[in-house]
Parts: sequence; structure tokens; C-alpha cells
Amino acid sequence: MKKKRGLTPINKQAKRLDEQEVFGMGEDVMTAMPIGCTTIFDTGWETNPRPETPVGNCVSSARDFTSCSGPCWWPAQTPDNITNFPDFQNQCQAVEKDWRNLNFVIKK
Amino acid sequence: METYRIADHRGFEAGGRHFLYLSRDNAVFEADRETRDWIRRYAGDAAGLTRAVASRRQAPASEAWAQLEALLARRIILREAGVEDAARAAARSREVPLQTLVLHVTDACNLGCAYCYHGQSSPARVAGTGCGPGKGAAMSAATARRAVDFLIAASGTCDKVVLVFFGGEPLLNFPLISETVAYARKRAADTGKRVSFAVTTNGTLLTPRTVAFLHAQDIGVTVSMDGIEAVHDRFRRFPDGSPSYRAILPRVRTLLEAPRKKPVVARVTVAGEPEHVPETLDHLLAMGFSETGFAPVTTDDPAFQLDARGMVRLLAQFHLLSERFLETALRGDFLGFTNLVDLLVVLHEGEVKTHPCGAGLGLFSVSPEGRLYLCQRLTGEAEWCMGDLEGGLDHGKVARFRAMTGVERKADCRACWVRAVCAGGCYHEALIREGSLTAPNRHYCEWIKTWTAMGLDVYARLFMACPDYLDKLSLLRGHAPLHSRSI
Amino acid sequence: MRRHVIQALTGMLTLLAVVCWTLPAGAKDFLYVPSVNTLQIIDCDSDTVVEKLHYNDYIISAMLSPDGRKYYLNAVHSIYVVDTESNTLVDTHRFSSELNKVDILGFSVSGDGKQLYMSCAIVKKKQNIPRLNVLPPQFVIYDLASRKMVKNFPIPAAMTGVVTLRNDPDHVFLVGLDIHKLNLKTGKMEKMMGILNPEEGQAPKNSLVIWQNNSPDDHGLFTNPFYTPTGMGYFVIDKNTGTLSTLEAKDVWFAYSTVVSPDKKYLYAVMDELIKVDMATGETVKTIPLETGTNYAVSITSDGKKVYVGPAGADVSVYDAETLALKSVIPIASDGVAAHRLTKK
Repeated sequence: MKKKRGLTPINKQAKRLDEQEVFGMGEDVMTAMPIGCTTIFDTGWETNPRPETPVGNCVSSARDFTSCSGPCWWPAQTPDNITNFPDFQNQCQAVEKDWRNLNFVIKK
Repeated sequence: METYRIADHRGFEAGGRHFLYLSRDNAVFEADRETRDWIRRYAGDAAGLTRAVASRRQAPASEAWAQLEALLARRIILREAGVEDAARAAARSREVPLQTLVLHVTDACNLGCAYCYHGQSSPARVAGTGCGPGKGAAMSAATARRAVDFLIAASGTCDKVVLVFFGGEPLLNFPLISETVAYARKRAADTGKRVSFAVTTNGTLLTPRTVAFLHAQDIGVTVSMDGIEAVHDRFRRFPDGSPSYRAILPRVRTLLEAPRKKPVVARVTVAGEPEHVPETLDHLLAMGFSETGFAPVTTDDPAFQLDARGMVRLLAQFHLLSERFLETALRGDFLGFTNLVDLLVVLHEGEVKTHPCGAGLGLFSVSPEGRLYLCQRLTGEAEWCMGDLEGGLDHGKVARFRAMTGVERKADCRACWVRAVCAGGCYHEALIREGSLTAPNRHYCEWIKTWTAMGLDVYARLFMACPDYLDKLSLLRGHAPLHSRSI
Repeated sequence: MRRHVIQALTGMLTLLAVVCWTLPAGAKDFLYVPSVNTLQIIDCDSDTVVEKLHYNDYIISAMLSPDGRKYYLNAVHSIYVVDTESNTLVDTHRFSSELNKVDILGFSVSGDGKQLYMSCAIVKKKQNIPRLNVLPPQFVIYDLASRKMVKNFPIPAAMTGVVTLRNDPDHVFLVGLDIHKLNLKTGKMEKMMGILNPEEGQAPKNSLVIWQNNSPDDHGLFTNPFYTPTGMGYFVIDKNTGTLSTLEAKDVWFAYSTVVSPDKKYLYAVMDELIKVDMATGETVKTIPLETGTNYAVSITSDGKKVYVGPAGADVSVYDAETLALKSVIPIASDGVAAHRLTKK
């Protein structure tokens, strides 16, 4: 932790008063959410602008579905293979032919 | 010429290290020895400080000036000007949207606890009119729906709203609760808000059906219980005088054994014998409560009041529990001692209170008839009726209340070092004990100061050993981490 | 029965003889393609899967060791080690446990092959507090032989690309929201190019860095697309000199990953098209839509004659590097993300 001029901010208010807050984190600060590989702003792969197919990506049966799960991309559209369904790839090994296996999942 | 002074603060030591608590800002710093000595030297000497600032300013490139600038930037040295006060006034006048509505779903209660505050603040109601089965009005479904509509409409840009079911004993009006939850969910979904629910119950009416409902609907449950049987049954009795502990026990077990997402907490009223507090905590946590909080009884009846010696004894018990909390935390575990968790989170978050609580700011209560009051404890007090569901809040009255209760209006609080966390204390308590809702609770000033000092000590020791833990406590209370917005 | 065997053997020997005869200097290209639950090894002469290896995992990225003897598969929570001579799984380095979830967002193998450099997101669970604690992202230097973390530094979030340099064991490039050069001894970072946080006067850019399609014996140019509000470009990290440059793209909108031809004249980019780019000018020489749809990885043979596109779905397409004519589509077992060409002597 950075020590500044004999004073170390301890609680959040002290840190707020610490004017030179830097982007990023000290050891004692947590981030709000796990961070995956997504960059912060997104060109929007899903809104592929070209007229010819494939027009949109990352919908089931698109070939990049599986990797849009993983630690990073659009977990809302794909099974959560981080926490709840770590082995979902077993039931959907090749999405173009196995997508029907995805089904609805009821978490026990 | 500008004059300077050292900001109001409290210096303290923990684990051989020096800490500085800024009263005005609720900020905690660790200071090195040199800085601490410097602050001590000028703490009472504004003239000397002003001269020191002036002389160091002559050499703006020097290390000495850099040190001083750091103290200025962190508001440890203040300019004697109205700048901060203006900023604070601006912050205070900010529109506060309604966020929490407490529904008094029934005035009736099936217990007749001897120390109950219900009706105490108004002499006309002292004769126990609010208590006992069948007595007191119940809220109608139409009123509850209007209350939900009011909450959603008045919450403005605030997208999270809270509905609390309170009473009397709210489970006496269980059908209303289940209907209102469904209605509120639907209205929230329609308007893009998120609604959460809480209920405070005495536990006597919990059944497998109500428990299943509470858990399935993610309703946060607080059970009023005084703990071990002998203590509990002293005051918490049925109107016929029979004890309630054994009646509640199997019902609370059903509640605690069912799988759930929201924590279930116990709330203990301390009336006499504070030595039972640790045992009570252990007893309730062993039963499966996630946390247990203790509040000295609010009453004007000396028979139940904790006298000054009782309060000191209570503090000693809190001290024991705080040490146990710390030991447990250092093992990586959690002791559900609500009072300390709340205090540590207040210290960690560093929010500066302008008012003691949310009553009349983001929180109001609704009486069975649909009138709006300052808070659940003041429901039914004509003087603190702030409007009704038909006509909405009486904004003039609300504004007057807010202005009149701000901590800066309380002369006793101005020089107090814990004002940022206390702001004068509970309005209802002040009304009963001090005779005026706008008065600070002088009877527990010293108590709050000692307790806050204890909290700071635990805070600093926890910080030195395991700073992550404090962030986790904050998360537990729903506070976002400091840097969340920068991600 | 015996006659059949002998016939089969004779056939195989003949085939081998023909193959050897056509190959220069006895070197032979293989394509290593890790996909869901299966690593397939494709013979780049016959363009068929000649060997398969099984595991039970999803592989987000992979990298060959500098000597080509090991192939490291990143399963996010663990790294699998494949021996490329025996084509067997020889080791697993697990980094996650029930209470400590470590996600390897990107990784690379050190120049001497002894260490892994990993960009990790770490989330801790505590048994008694129902919350997750997300720690600051860490750069971890992991020693393979002792199976121990040697050093770690806090790094900015979302660093998905770790690029090892060939002549500078003290530095790596970290690529994510921006491009930094990280000093492995001190943990100090020097910003080389702003992506999210651009240089003064420039617009912010975007980039997705998951693929390093490089082979151990290649020219050492790592390239990746980036996007500006008005178009696309490629950044080029020369792993030999440790320098960074950019190339403006023309008539191209999207590409996942790229590979540079052995003669460094062309860059091939893929996503929904196969795009051939002139490395000297950035001009797009030719674009063809991919028959199979979206693909992630692209590789090129050591003679620069064939381009392998894929996987994303369960196949790899083979294109003529000169004409971009589709030569064949090789089915594989499952969906995948990475592919790497390995030349065995």
C-alpha cells in the first residue's frame, strides 16, 4: 500500500479524501465483479454490420457459441460454465449439431 | 489573512500504531509518529498553526510544505472558512427519494410484552390499547396496494425499494402480506424497479406454510426474541401471563432449519441484567440465527430501564463480545454480533450522518388506515403524521422536520467527536427519554462515545491483521466497494 | 490373415516413402488443434487427423514451448501439458481450488521453457461469509519444475495477451486494455500503446487478444487486430526485437485473429472471412467468405503454401495461401478455439 506523507488512508472516507486515487487497486480494495477478457467498451461482435451471413454471432448454433461462455464473454446467453455448469461442454461438444442438447436447466 | 486549525479528531493507538479519526468526515487514517506529534502540537493552537502554514508556504518546493499540503488535502488542517459548510448544506438539501416503506399491517399483537413501547409516547395510549389479541386495526388489502403504488411512485430515480411488514404482530395479517408481496413484485416488474421485503415478527405464528412462503419469497426475517428461556420469559409473555419461549422455539426452529437465501436475524431487547448478553448471543446463534442485535429497552418506566450502572455493565458485555468477534474474525470466521458489525461498517464506509436515521428521509411508515408517519415506532402519533396515501407526503412538514432534526441544530452534538456516526440518536427514544424528538439522547451520550471508541479499536486491529475482512462486512451490508465505478 | 497384415504394412511403407520423398530436409508440419475434450493432430501433408488425445475440459487458449516439445493447453482453471513427441498428456498444473478460483485469462511460456507467465483473475470464497472476494488481477510467474509461484505482480484488469520476447528474458508484453511492457524483475510496466486509454488526441480503441497463432520456429511476429471508431488496424509485436508497430487496415471490418506468412509478406486474418493483407502497405489483397462460417484461429504451413482456418465449430478448413481457394475441410471432434502449426524435424 502506498503511504503518503506520513498518513495512510484506512476507511473508505479517508480514501475518498485521498485525492490521488489511482485507477486500479491496492491490495486492500476489491473490485465489484470478476473480470474476464472482455474489453471495457465493445465494438459489438453481436451486431456484425455486414449484409451477408452470418449476420449476428453468439446465438446458439453460431459456431462461436462455446467460447462465448468461458470466463469472459456473454455468460447471460450461454451456460455459466464458471460456477454452475462447469462441464456443460460434455453435452454440447459441437454446437452446430448438439445445440438441442442444451435444453433448459433446472438447478438442483 | 486566512487562519487555520486542526480538524476535530480523536487520536488513538492500536497495536503500537497511531491512528487518527476525523470527527467531521468520519475518516480514519494511520499516521506516522512525526505526523501524530505535529498534529498534537498544533491541535489547540490555531495561531501557531497559521504561522507555521505561512512560513512553510514560503518554500513551496520543500518537503515540509508537501507534508502540510497533504494534511490540507485530507482535511486534517482546515481553513477557517465556510467552504465545507456550504458544501455540506448543498449535499443536505439534495432531494431524498423514498426508498423504504414500513407497513403497519396490524396494530394487534398476540403477545403482551411488559416493556413494549407501543403507545408509550402518547399518554392517551399508555393503557395498553395497542396490545393484545383482537385489539387494534388491521390494514386492508386496498390500503396495502395503495402503499405499494405510493412507494413506487415516490421512489423517483431510486430503482431499489424496500417494503417492511411491521406491527403489532404482522403475521396476524398474513394473507395481506402474501397478497401485497405478489402485488409489489408485479408493480416492480412493470416499472423496472427491484423490490425487496422484510418482516419483523415475534415468532409465535410461524408455521411451515408461512416459513415456506417467507423463504420462497426471499423475505428477510427479524425475530424479536430475548434469548435464553428465563430471560425471554421475564417480559415476553402472552396477554394471559403465560410464558412464550416454549411456544416460539419449535416455530423458530422451522424457520431456521429451512434452506434460505436471506439471513434470518434475531433482535434482543435488553431490559435489566446485561450480564446475560453473551449467553444470549451464543444461544441464538447456536439456534441458527445469522446475527443477533441488542437494543436497550425504550421505555419511560424505570422498572424496565437500564440505569446508568446497567448501561456501563452492558458496555462491559459488549466489550467482551467485541474481543470475541475480533478473535473469530482473525480465524477467518464470523460472529454474528449485529451491533459491532453495524458499527464497523459505519466506520468503514465513512458516510457522514446528517440525521440519526433514515426516518423522514428515505423511510416512512404507513398506519393501517393509510396515514404516513416518520417511522415504525412513531406510527399513530398524530404529531408525526407526515401525510397520507391519498394526498401523499406533506412536503412542507417533511422539509421542516428535516431542517429541525439535522445534527448541526443539536447544540450538544456540535462539539462531539462521534457526531458523524450518531447524529443524536433515535428520535423515538429521545421523545420518550428527553421529552423532545429533536433533542439528542443525552442519557446515552457517554455510552455511544465509549462504544464508538471500542469500535474504532476493533476496527484498527482488524485493519492491521486482515483489511479484506472489513470490505466483506461492508458487502454483507450491501455497500458497493469503493472502486466499483471505475471498472 | 497374415497376408492382409503384410499387404497393409507394404501399403503404409509405400505411402511413407512417397511422403518422405516429397518433403524437404525431412521436416514435417503438423497442426495441433485442441477442442472440447479432444486434442487432434492433423498431418499437414494428408490433411487428415492422424492422432487424438482425450481430456475432459474446455480449452480457451494454447501455446507451444519455444523448443516445440511441449504443448500447453489453458483450461482457465488449469494448464495441461502435452508431450509433442509421444503426443500424450504428461502433466496438469491446477491453480484453482474450491475456495480460491483462479482464472488464467492469458498465458505464455518463458524463453527457456522453464516457466509459465500467467495473467490471472482471482476470486476467493470464504466459507462463513456468503460473498465472493475479487482480488486485484495478478501476473504470476510459475516455475514448472518446482510447481511453485516464483513471483507475482498486480496488473491492470483484462490482460488477456502475454507475449514472450525471444531475446529479452527480462520483459514480456502484456496486451489487454492497453499494451504494456512488463519488467519481470521489478514488476514495473511501461505503456507501449494505448487501446482503451489512448495517447493524447487519439480516440480510444478496442482489441480482443485471445489468439497467438505463432509457431516456435517462425519469424516471431505476433499480430492482432484492433478497432478504432472509424476502422481497423493491426498491431505487430516483433518478438525478436521487442518492438511494437501498427499497420492500418483497409476494406476490412472484423477479424478475430491473424498470422503472418513465413516470408513476412502477407498477413492472413480470419473471422467470417479469410483476408489476405499486404504487410508492407496494409492493403487487402483478397477477401473470401469462409464456407464454414465463423472461425477463430489461423495457421500457415512452414513453406507458406497452405493456410489452415479454424476451429470455432468442429472443423478446420484448408486454403491455398496464394489464391485463397478452398482445398478441403477437415472434420474434428468438437468446437475449439486454438490451432498451432508445429514443424517436426
